[in-house]
Amino acid sequence: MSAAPGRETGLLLDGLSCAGCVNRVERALRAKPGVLEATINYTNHRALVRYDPKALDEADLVGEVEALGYRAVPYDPTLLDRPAHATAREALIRVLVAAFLAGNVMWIAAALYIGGYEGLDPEVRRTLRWLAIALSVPAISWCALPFWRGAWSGLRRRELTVDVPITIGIATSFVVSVVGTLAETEHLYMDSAAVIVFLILLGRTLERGARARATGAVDSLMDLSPDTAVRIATEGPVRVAVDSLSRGDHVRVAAGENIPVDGRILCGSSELDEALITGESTPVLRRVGDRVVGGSTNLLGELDIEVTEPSATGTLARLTELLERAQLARPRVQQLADRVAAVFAPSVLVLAGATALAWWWAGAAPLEIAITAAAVLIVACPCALGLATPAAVTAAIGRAAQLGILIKSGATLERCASTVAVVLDKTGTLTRGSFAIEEIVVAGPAALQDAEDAVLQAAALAEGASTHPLAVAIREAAESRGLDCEAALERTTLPGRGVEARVGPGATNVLRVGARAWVESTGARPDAALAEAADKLAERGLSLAWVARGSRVIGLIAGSDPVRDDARRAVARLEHMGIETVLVSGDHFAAVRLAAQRAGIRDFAAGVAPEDKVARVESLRAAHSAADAVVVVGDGINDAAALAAADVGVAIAQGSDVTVHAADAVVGGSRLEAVPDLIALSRTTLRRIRENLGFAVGYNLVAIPLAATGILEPLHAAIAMSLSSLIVTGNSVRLLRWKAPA
Amino acid sequence: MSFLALTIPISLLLGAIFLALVIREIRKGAFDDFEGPAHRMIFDDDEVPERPGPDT
Repeated sequence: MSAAPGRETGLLLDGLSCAGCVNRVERALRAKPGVLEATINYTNHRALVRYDPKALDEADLVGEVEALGYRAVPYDPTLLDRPAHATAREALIRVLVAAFLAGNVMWIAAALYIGGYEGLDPEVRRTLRWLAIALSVPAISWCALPFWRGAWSGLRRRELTVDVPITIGIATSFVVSVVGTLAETEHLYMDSAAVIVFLILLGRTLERGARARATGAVDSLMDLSPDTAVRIATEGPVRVAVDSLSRGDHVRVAAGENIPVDGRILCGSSELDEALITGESTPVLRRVGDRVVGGSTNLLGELDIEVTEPSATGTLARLTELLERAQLARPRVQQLADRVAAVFAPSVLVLAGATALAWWWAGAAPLEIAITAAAVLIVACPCALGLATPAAVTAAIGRAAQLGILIKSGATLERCASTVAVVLDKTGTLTRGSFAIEEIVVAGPAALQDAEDAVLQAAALAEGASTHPLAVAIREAAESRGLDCEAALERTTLPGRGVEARVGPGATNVLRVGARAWVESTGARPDAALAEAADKLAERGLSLAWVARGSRVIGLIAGSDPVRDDARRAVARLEHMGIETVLVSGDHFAAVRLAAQRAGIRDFAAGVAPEDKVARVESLRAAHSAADAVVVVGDGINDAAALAAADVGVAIAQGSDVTVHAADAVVGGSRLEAVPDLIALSRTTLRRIRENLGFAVGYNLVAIPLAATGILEPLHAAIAMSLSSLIVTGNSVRLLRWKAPA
Repeated sequence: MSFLALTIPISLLLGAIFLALVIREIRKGAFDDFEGPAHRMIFDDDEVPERPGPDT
């Protein structure tokens, strides 16, 4: 990421009313010399621009956007809320004024309508009609100002935005009522213009609210970071801005507060809620020396923390940036919808013209022609089409983040949905990556009461501070049984063989722990029963450590790297979804078979070198059609190549390292079940996108002919148009409540 | 007819007065956050425990 040239800035855009506008601003920014890359997210109206700082600066970018008739604010998360609030207030006032005017116009229209049957004094009728027109004037001018502005700035650039048909429709309805009043026409709809303005404004306001909810998941990440922190200075604790903290500062975090920055605990211990990384709010115990992640919540006790990373480059900042990038990357289906939306407004104008021509040909009255053409202009809605994908993608990425899955791009969702096979790595992915003692076998007849403990203690004494995974497991097991493991007098480590330690004078006080061949070579011979037990354990796939005291083998300790608690469930869910699961590992056959059995995986391959893993992934992809995706799940450390070779690489992150580069998605909290979660969520998301697109296309196919044939009046057209945008947004927001199928 | 000439302007005026009042409140920011207040009333912000300073 840092390898990309140029400087990056965010722009908060204001005044974008449809996908066509996004398209236009994006193209204009990209065309500007010095701009390397520009993408805009329609859902939250934010642009990410990468540019050459030598060629231009932020002000030039803002100027470019403003020249198009939109407003842009260079993006600084702390400033984000203010312009949005001002716009929201203004929009709310416009809606309310429009509601007041439309409401009054409507009762007048009702009175006129009823009066038409009851017989109304022509004088009263004329007065009421002019009153309705007077009330409509501010509605179609001031309240509808956003539409006029949108249409004008588009026309000035010789481009047709969605606002053009809307404003022509509103103007036509108004002119019809004025002309009808002057001509004293019998039946006349007086309420169209004002009510249409109100309905479209209402629809846009509600849509804005829904969109804000969809982006809320990302914004809530920013909320996790407190603005201030208590720094422990030499003169005592002082409250300072989090931005001002630098590496090495000491910070105090009270119980109940959020950890301000990434750091290491200097003093105190507490339980932390690290849901932002892991997606699980089960508290985790953190003690002195442990790392803590900025944004997690300190639940129990006071902590003193040494800052290891300033907030601007900390985990939370990286997470937020990655999420925003993900929402900006557009899936393929969206690119198609964008192109359709761009040609939509001109097509609508042509259709409306054709409708008017057809009605004139059929000999209709001028007023009737105008009303029908206005209905076509109003009912056609490219907004539903433009919103269909980004709204769903944004909501899905937000939901995934809540589940502890960081998706780096919207396109990942699209590919994940067509997963046919999942390739799992063993160590650290399917398994925990650390050994556990499974069995202790004591040599000799009728084991004594504490013989197991004696073997374990001897082994732990000998191993000392060895970092071999099995040695670590032995030491932990001994400690948990409360065994005294005082350091040996002297210790020699023989790489690849074992450890030799002297715990006292004489040959019987030499302990040896290690491989069978080496222990036997020192003259210690196991009895037949022990040898048989050893063979059986090795065949099961367990790793063995032989323990000898002097020339006598006193026992052996068998350990393995246990599969994760949720491995079996995750594999079963994948199978249930019709996805093939393959375990590919560099480990030896028996160990891989053991892990596969325990996780319920039938297909596995052992002894596979990293290069061969890539080849296997590629042959698996070749075996399926190009539309099908192969997902590789690894720990992101030693299998980066395989992750990159896959259609979708998923990394199971250890601890707080959530930004593995080779992966398309990163799972926090070492949760294997996040893999079926991710695939299921992707499938649901793609279904929502298809529903949205299908609905938007279907709506236009049905509504436009209805309007053109005069069945749908301008008023109904406005209701239908607003509803279509709301339905698409509402359908997408449902993803925020997505739950893994039980 | 004459009663209409009186009642319609009066009712429109009354409506406009209330509209103006609401607009004033919107401009003050009373409607910026529709969801927040519902949650905020649950928390007792005024009872944030103060950390005792080094001297107390």
